[in-house]
Amino acid sequence: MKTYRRLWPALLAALATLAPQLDAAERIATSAPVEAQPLLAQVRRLREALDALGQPLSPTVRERLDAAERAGGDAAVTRAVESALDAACVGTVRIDAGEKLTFTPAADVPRLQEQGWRAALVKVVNLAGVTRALWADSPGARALPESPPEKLAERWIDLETIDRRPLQEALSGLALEYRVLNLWARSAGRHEAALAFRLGPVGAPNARLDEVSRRRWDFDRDAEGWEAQNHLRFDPRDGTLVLHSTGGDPFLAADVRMAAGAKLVRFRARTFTDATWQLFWWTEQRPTPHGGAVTSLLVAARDGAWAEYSALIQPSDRMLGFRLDPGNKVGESALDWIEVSSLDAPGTDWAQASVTFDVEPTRRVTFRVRDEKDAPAFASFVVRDARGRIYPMQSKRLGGDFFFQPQIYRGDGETITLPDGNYTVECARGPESVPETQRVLVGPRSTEIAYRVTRWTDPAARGWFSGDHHIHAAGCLHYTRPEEGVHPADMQRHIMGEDLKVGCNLTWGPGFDFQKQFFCGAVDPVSTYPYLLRYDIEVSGFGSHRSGHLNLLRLRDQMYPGGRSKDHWPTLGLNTLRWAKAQGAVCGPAHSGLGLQGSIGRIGEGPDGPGGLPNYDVPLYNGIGANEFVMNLAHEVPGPDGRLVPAVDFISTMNTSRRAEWNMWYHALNAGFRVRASGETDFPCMTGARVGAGRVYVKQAGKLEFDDWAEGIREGRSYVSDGTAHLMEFQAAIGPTRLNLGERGSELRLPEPGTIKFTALVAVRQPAAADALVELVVNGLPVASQPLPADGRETAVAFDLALSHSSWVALRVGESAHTNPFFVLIADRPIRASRRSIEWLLAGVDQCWKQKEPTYAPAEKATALADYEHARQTYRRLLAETPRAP
Amino acid sequence: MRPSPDAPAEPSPALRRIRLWLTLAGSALLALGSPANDAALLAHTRATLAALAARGAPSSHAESAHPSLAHLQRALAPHILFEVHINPEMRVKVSRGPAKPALTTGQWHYFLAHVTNESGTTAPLQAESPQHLGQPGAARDAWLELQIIDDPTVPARLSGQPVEYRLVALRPSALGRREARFSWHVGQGTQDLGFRSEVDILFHCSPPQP
Repeated sequence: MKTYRRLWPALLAALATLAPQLDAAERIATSAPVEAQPLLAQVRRLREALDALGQPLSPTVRERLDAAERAGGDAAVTRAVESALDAACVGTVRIDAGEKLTFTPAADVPRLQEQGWRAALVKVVNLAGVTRALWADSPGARALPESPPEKLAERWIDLETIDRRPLQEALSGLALEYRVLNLWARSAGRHEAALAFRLGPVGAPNARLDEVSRRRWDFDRDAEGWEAQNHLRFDPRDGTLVLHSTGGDPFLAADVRMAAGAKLVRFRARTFTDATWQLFWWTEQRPTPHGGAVTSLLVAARDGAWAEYSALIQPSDRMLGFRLDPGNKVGESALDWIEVSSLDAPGTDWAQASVTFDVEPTRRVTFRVRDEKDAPAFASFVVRDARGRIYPMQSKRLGGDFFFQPQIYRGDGETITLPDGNYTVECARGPESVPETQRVLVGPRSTEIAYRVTRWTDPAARGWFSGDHHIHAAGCLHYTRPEEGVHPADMQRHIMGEDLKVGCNLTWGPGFDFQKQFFCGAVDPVSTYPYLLRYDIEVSGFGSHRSGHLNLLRLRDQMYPGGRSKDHWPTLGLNTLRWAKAQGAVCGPAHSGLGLQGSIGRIGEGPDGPGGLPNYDVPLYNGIGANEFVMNLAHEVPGPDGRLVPAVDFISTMNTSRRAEWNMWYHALNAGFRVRASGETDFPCMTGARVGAGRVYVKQAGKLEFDDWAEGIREGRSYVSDGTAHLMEFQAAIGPTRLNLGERGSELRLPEPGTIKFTALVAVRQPAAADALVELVVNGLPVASQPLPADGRETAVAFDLALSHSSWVALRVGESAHTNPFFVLIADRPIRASRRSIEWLLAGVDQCWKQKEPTYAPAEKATALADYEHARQTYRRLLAETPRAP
Repeated sequence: MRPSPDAPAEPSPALRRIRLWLTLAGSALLALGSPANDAALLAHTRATLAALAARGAPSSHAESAHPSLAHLQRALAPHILFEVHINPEMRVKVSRGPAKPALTTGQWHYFLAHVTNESGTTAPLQAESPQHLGQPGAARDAWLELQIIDDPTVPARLSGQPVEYRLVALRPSALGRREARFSWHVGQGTQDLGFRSEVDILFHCSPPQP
């Protein structure tokens, strides 16, 4: 016995050690097998959501989930998913068959970040198959202002549920799923907080813990928080509240915080005169009593006998209080009790338990950013910790740090707050820099991230200034609250960080009336040379948008005459162009390829060009790209001095199907039009990745200046590019005479057929490819090519081209870059390169009219009809001028 | 494209009466083509209801001799599985509609896509799903067939009008609960960003009644 006695302490100690593990195991293994297919689909969505948040699961968990995908059978998959994800949970919410909730914290201590947000999982075992929303709250998440002193210490945490796409607000109804919580911590160290969960209706705001589902006042001791107001006095007496009405508008009021939704108000009262009593309530969104939140009920005298009364109320958002008006007569009445209770479904009682967290401290880390000449600069940084989590947390970004991007843009001397640890930092400064990935240790003696830009090309040094003529500060991926988009300084940060010399920030439908304030008819004051930000207009979401969006650059006046917003603009794009061109704007269709795909038939016989360029399928004209363009192209309209100028100056490229956008351009050039190509992104609609994904590089002598840069688009002294390929110094030479692209309208004249030498300086950096091919394009067809290394080195290319008839000539590199053309006129004959191209345009006018005619307002219909007919006549004339076999 | 004809169950006598009424009243209006105003939207809504009824989808609307547009739209609402929204930039996003996601294994089911078209595009509306059996790129857990009905009554091509409906056919090959992701667009590159062009729906697939 003695021996055994000695063993008892050790046995008890062992049991004590084991107990939490058993407890933890029991806490986690709670779900029965779930159908594997929807469970795995849900897990994949969870992974997508966490990746998009910049808070990915750890590599170990990801590997386990990959294994779960291969596990066979419902039970095995369920076990594998639980085994992978349970360790990443702060606890388990269990919804029993009666929809009663319990919350059990996990055994492990979750880690949070000081002054930062971290995503955490909550396991949900849903035995009731509930498909309502799961709400979360914590008493520690209350605000510090107005806090009782004794509550200050506990209010260290904040939290929110993450249920936006690809996640879903409603529980799936599956017996097992995982939800995402976002948790924020005020200070480092070990802290404890109660986490609470309840069910709620989908679409309603998350309820708070300080809201009650039922409240009753018995008046046993006093008025219990009710206040008599206006023509009312009251006395608590014998467990009742005796009311003395002294005038025509007596009332008493109380605060009560309850979630939105139907509520039953009951009270026991007596009165000595029949009267209509009223019940007002108020909410967070309408915090004062008003006529839209009131109900009336008749309270009968009954010789002063007590009786119960009830009324149904339906606050549309979080209820903050209500008020009882006991008739409008002078006299006495009394209340025995009042009760208000929610008529919600089960599951609305909070399930709450305390969780202990370890909060990691953070420190301020400074960026040291220098360009290739060691001057202070801005750059793009993607900061990931060892787990792959992105900083700052994307869901908590406002202003210049865009929540839909992993990267942030920081200038020399700016900072970020990070916990100590190891990080990988992806650094870049636009497509002309060589991106690099750094490993950075953040700690007491390591508080800087240093990046010096390495360029592989510098077109601006040769006078080729990059720009993106189509970016937005509002709409598409931008938020609409707290403001409709972001401010000029935010956009400026992005164009500087992407080394984009010109950003044309276009105000359009969403946020129009907010963003229009930033237009000034000149370069925005936040611009920092050589980075210029200019506000202008995209006709999109209003006016003539249905026949194809229009980029209107270099406007002097952003508002079409006759109104102050966007509802009065013309529905015919050409009418918009007439107004814009009269003030000297540079104009062209946006996202050109939209609506230029599909086919209603083909023009002529014979094959398409290589790679479908050019091709002769007449597209559907069913979108919002360069659609009405096919008609506008044939028009000249009065310019600022009254002389006729082309209605459109350029066609946008580089952000839709290259085949569709270049095909339209080639046909237009083949018909003899001198419309130029420009490059755009339509950020963040076509992509939210970055500004300057599609670019135009305009040649300017001397200092960059916006008006002349825009004029360079119009004149075609430019090339378009995705930034990976550059076609600089495109030059034509006839004997000793040389002409640079964009000079003298890029027009060359030969008295008779002859040979022209074309040269350029080409640089391509495409790490996935060993070589690139520069092609000489004549009248839409490649006639010569030259390979060059795709490693970024500048290579001089030269082509001798013999021409027998008037033609346009350009260079291109795959789908990555294209110069604007030279126009070579032989014997003064105009370019009429292809009858088939003109027939294609003519067929396009008819198809476009079929599609767009319903979009023109009746008042503009006659003009539209005449404008389309003018285009047909123009194309027929060109056709007559074009030889059958050029 | 048309779903294989082995689907719809025989409609009830009441449904046959509805179908007859719709055939008489609705088909004449189909000739109007794209709805250009409220009257045309009324015609389009009737045509949609007729198309649903013709495929055996139960409806409870046509008690009135001259139902209003609102009345007809209320009748269509329970069939809307997809709320499709096309913004002025032709970005397509989608959310789940009120239709009950209940299917019978091996049978075609017809749902509606309610389309709000701010861009005016007249491109065909298209939906894809990694769970679509036999498609290139189908997921390992593919379990259903998906078709956007494209016939003269209910073309896949949009009319360009602000509001319209399109008919979607689904046929499951599995039993029990199954989830599918549907991605919507009106042509290459028109999917909205940020997962907004996709909707994940959990279906209950029951065995056919003997």
